Amino acid sequence: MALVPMAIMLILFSFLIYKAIPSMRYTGFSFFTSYLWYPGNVYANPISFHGVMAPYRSSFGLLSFFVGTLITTGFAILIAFPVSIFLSLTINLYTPDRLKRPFSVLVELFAGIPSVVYGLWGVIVLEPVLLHNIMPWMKYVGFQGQIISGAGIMAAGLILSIMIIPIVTAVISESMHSQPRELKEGVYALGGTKWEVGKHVLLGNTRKQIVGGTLLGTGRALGETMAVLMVSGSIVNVLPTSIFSLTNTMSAQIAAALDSAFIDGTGMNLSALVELGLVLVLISLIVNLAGRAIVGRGALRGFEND
Amino acid sequence: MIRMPGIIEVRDLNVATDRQQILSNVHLTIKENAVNTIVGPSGSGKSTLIRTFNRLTELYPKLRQNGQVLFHGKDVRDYRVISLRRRIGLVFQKPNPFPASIYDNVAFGPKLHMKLTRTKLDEIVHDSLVSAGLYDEVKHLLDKSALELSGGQQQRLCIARALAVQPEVLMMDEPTSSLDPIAKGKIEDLMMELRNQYTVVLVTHDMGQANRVSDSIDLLYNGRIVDYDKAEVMKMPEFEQAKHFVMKLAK
Amino acid sequence: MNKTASIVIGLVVVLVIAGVGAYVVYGHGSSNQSPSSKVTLTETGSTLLYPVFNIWAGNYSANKITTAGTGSGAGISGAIAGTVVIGASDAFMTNTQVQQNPGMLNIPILISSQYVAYNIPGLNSNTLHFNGTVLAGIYNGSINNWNNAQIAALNPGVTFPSHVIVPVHRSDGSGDTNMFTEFLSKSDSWWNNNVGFGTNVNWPSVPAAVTGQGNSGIISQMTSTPYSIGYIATTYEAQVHSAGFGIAALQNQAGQFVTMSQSTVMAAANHYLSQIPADGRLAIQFAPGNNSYPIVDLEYLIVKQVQPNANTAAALVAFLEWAVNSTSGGSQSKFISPLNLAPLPQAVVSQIVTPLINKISG
Repeated sequence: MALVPMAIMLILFSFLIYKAIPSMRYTGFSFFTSYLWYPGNVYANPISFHGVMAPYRSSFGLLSFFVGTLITTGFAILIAFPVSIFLSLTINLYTPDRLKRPFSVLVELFAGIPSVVYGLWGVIVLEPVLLHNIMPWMKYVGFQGQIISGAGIMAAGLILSIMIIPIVTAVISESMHSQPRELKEGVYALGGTKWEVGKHVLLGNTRKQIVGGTLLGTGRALGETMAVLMVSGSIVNVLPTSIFSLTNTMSAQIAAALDSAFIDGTGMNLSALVELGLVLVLISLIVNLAGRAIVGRGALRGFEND
Repeated sequence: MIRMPGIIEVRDLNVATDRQQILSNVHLTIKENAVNTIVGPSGSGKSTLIRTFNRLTELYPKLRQNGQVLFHGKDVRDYRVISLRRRIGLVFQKPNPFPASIYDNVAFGPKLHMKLTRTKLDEIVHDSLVSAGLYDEVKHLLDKSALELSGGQQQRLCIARALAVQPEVLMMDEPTSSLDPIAKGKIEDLMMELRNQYTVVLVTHDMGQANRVSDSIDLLYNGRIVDYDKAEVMKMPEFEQAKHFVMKLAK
Repeated sequence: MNKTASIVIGLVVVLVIAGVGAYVVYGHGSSNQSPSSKVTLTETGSTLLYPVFNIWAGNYSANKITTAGTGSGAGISGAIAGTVVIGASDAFMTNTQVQQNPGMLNIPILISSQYVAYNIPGLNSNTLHFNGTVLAGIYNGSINNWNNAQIAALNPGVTFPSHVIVPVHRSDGSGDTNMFTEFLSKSDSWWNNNVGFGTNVNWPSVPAAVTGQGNSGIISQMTSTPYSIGYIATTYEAQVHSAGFGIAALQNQAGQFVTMSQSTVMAAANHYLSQIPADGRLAIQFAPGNNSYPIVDLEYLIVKQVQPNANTAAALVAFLEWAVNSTSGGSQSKFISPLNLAPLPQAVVSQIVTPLINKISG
């Protein structure tokens, strides 16, 4: 039975690789080093290069999307990591027992909100606040760069962080909760305070799960599409120059550029998007496997069941 | 029997949850520099009773308590909880070393309470391990993880950890129940040595152990201290099960 | 092994969902004979034409029409693959696609148009003047401040702020991008030589540029980004007005600055009448004639010339004839005027569209 999913995965990968071959032949290594994503003029006569057909003046490089993905994901982790640890400590140490369950359920409910709703909130609420209240203040305290729009790295990073906090918190909080009672009482019995229990038992003893949970959150942030598409600014052919810059991610670019790729008769636009998807799948797979390997199945059980 | 005022006095203590009475009208005296043993079957409330002494019961907000526990004649609730717990140490039923080195386990408590030089800390760790009878076995392994020790060694490490904060009272909650007979024997010997320097409170359901190490024994049954000298109490049907405890104690 | 397996199972679930989804969208492509012998004509594609098809589906009684707004690219590829009968598209098929799929017809059906709108604090109540060269300069970054002399030259008497221009374009592939870039290509040689037109193009690197997804995305980005300029389908007139944007007058081929209205759109279409080729594929932006609005576009229905059976072919022909009929059919003003769409001029229908429709066989 276990062979069936393996076979399906193999078929999926073979399909992706097969579809990406024209793009690999056309772009070669520059796919990874160029930041220009030019769909080309699909109405002009196509050109032939390395035995494949491509639209006139087309060229495909993932660098701007790759950089955007790293920056927004990194920004999200930077926010989500301390917040998740704070929430986990709060749930495990300072929340009365009768509120623990509702509190955890609330955190998990946030994980179930469709990403388009986060995106909507980002566009309507977050972007204006960033543009009019937060960015001018940041500039005042010394951040460099040109403020263009509320959309961009900050909006995308913040929305992503809000989306992954429930996942990261669930893993960390669960592993803190599963720390043996004897250890916590051991610290209390020596005259330790709640903070010392949190520091030595809940934090000190769950480092692996904290790293693993964060990696799982990273995996989610890497693949998140809809919300990022709405608030990143989805800029193309520009590398970010400051914290205020607009950006774009690999997943959002695939979603945004797919329909016009169908109008390219040479199929090269589609092939390049598939190659982009292939790279994204590989990155996500590595991050997720790493996260799972570190956390171990036991610590994940509570959150997977919910 | 005339009871001299002890280092800890329990007066008319009642502890209950919403559903269940755990301790009822408990009166008890813990005598200084002696092994004070509380025996009773599982679920009789022994662990809860001693956890009222260092207010560890406060970790369970569902427990409601009235009556008094006096430490040096003063209600334990009038002490700062941190200093109370430093002065009344607790060793748990299951060895619970922290997942850290042997040295760090013993140094953990002192570091919480005092700012110490490395030399002073080394000295405390050394002395505590010696007092717990563990030093010779681990003196070359201080940087090794405590989790690599055997169960009996881990329990003695926990005793050393409790001693390192220089408590006045050392409470042990069934400290040998998960250990093999040899390890158990070592800890029993240790208890008898410790009473010279500390007040020991032992909780156990092992009658033989109680007889071997105790200076005084109290029987806790269904949340009540039972005076096993009074034959008429023993005839009450609710104490039927307790008889075999009493028979052993009487010897 | 277990970890891998659970990931794989996740992928399988995704694939199954995708498969079911594809079936729902495309699966009923073949025309089924319903019990009442009505034919179902399936349509997918252009989001601009989606509201029109919704109205048509509710008002066309001869046969059943199903509609889905999936994007012009999906419309063209669906029609080519035969998963739908009608693929709606804001853009006609490329030469490459036509060569690869000689059996496809590009049938003009309606005329759409586009605003160039701006959000410049203090100037939104002015009707500013732009031409293709200045817009191309804004979108390639060579004109990057509102106080640029080229902008001032088109707008004598207007004082522009010194502020960076934020050009807004679509992030997704779009018929609106196609329409706008066709206008730029026809009116500016740099743009034509270096960028060209399409539903997605080689956008020049402009650090201040912002993008939006869909027309509503453009509107919300422009609302939250002052000193921005963007292109928006006139279908979104109400939203553009409530956002308070200024709407530009655009310079046509005759050098006149014209604003969008039904008559200026029809005028543009009429001027291109003689040039529309027999296969229907023509960009009609930047029309000659004093009264022609320069950003207008033909909307297309992409269909297979040879339908799977005679019933479907007959139903399709009847529907297409009804759709372009502006007196009693789908192009009546009560159906399309609220969406700011214009009917094809009668001459275009009789000389171009009807011959194309008549090629359909079953």
